Amino acid sequence: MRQLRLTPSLIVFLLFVVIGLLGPWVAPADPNEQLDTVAGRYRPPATRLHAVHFEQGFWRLAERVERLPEGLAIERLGVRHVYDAASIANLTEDGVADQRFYLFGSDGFGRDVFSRWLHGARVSLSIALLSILIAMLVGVGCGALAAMGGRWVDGLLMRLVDGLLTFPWIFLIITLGALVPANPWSLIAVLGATAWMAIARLTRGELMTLKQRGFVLAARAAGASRWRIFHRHLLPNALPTLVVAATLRVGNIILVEAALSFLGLGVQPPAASWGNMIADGRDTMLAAWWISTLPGLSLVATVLAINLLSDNFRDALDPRQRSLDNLTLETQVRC
Amino acid sequence: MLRRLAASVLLAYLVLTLTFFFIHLAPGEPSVLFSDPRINAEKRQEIRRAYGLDRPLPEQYWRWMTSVSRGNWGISLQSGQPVFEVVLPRLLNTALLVAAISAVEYGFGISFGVIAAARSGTALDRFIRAFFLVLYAVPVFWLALVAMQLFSVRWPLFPIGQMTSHRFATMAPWEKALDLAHHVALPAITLGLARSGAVVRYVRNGLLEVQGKDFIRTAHGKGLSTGRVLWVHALRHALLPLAQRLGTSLPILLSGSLIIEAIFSWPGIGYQAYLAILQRDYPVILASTAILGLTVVLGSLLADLLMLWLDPRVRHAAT
Repeated sequence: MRQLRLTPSLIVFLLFVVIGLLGPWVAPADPNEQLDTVAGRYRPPATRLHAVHFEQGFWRLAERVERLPEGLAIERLGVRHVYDAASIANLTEDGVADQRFYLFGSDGFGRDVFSRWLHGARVSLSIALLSILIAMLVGVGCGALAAMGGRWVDGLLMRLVDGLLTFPWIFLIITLGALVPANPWSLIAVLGATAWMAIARLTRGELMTLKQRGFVLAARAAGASRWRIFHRHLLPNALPTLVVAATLRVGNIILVEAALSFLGLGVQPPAASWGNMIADGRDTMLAAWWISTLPGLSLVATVLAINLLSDNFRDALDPRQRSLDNLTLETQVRC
Repeated sequence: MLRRLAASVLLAYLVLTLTFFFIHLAPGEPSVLFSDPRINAEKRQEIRRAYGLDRPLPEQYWRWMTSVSRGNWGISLQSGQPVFEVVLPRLLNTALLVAAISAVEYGFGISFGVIAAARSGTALDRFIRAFFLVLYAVPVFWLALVAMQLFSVRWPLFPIGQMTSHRFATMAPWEKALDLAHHVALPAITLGLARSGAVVRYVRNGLLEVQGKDFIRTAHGKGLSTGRVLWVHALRHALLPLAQRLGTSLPILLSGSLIIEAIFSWPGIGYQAYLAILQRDYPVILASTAILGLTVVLGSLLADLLMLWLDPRVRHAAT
């Protein structure tokens, strides 16, 4: 196995992981904060607004503030208002204490797109990783059982896999998804429960090939038990291929989760996910392009990085390996 | 051949059996799926009896298998029509869309794959490969939105969603065909283009693989032009795995068409299933999924038959 280098795709993927891990802590604002729905909505990227906190408790966002001797003059949506000092809670020497900086602009509810984007990365990452974990456990378990368990078990399990693979993935997800309550945990469970079949088939294939290899036959001749052959000889040799397969599925699960959230069947609002952020911005794509364009581009970058990464992995493992080449292309749902 | 047919029948049987299990996977009470969850216990018992849900499980299984094999998939909760009558016409609309998507996918994929192979190693080859690789990572639902905003809203070249215009019923036949083509164009181009990356890769790799083979050298030796050797002799060889792929990629294609249909309001089985989800019309969701499963079984059987017809090696192995 060749050394893995720090390629751009690896950097993008690591960046995605770091954003997903740290995102919520570095987010400048609460992702659901709506300080001023009227003056705060549809602000383009890199807008800085002054946040005026009134004594009654509500907030107003203003493009400009000017400290007057008797109080504060603000310019909100191009209109000038003057308030006396006693009515404002966060008054300072030269204006107000709070500001909002919309790095990626704000959406139709006046929420900060950057903060939502950070939280969305966390959602995408954790849903994808947890469901791939479930899929790997079930898939490798089932594949191993089929490869080690004898003809009948093998036949039964592989027919089950064939049957489940016959259903289009998205349809399988919505059919099972309709049975469970709509929350992130059931989403993870449903994604995991519908993504393991290709992994099971691959695991079985790998183990079957390995079983014919000389070192396994030698171990068997030396009297090693079935379990020992499996976990000492077969699994360690099959694992690299399985890891590549899993990486690849991660990219696809991220896309599928985004598509489901976009349709309103995945992560439920107001929780942010890149998919439902695109849905939020779908009607204002031309007027307020930033709401859906940035999550869209982030999805492209992440998935592209993961696809390239698994290509690299595959080359590092074995450039001639065709079983994975087919997996790279064929089990990806384009959605 | 008989073996292949038997495998398809077995698979179809598995699809129906698994569907039966999906119903009984429902937490608690399957009758909730077939009726309004708020009705009272008495009414629920009535529904349980009506659907035979109070019978022992093996008997229910037998009833399910016999009734679905007769085309009885239950009643839509939303429209009150038999589910089969709701879903079947949608299946044809989806078939139309899927055919158009495939035409775009293979059209673009094969052309650019051949160009990339002919110019392999050049900047053009690298550009084509990089372009389709990036395209392969673009979320289709987002690409569809962008395409719709640009080519239906900003520059209204294509209609915004739907399958036909309002005055479709009064159109002449050739006008109808034109109208359908106009409506199918944007969704087909979007998903077709997004999917064509895999085809480019297949065709390019396939062409490069046969480069040094005897039959290519023979063709060159006969004095055929490079273009003819590439587009006819080599390409025919590279297309064989694609014919196989027609069958295997069908479930994935249908998954993608759900998203495209939902965005373009294409009245296909995917859009129907999407609406059924929003209306919690479980019989329709279940039937759509199961019927698509059966369609996939049939589709891959047809693709294998196509292979049998196309590839003499497979034909000889089979007989």
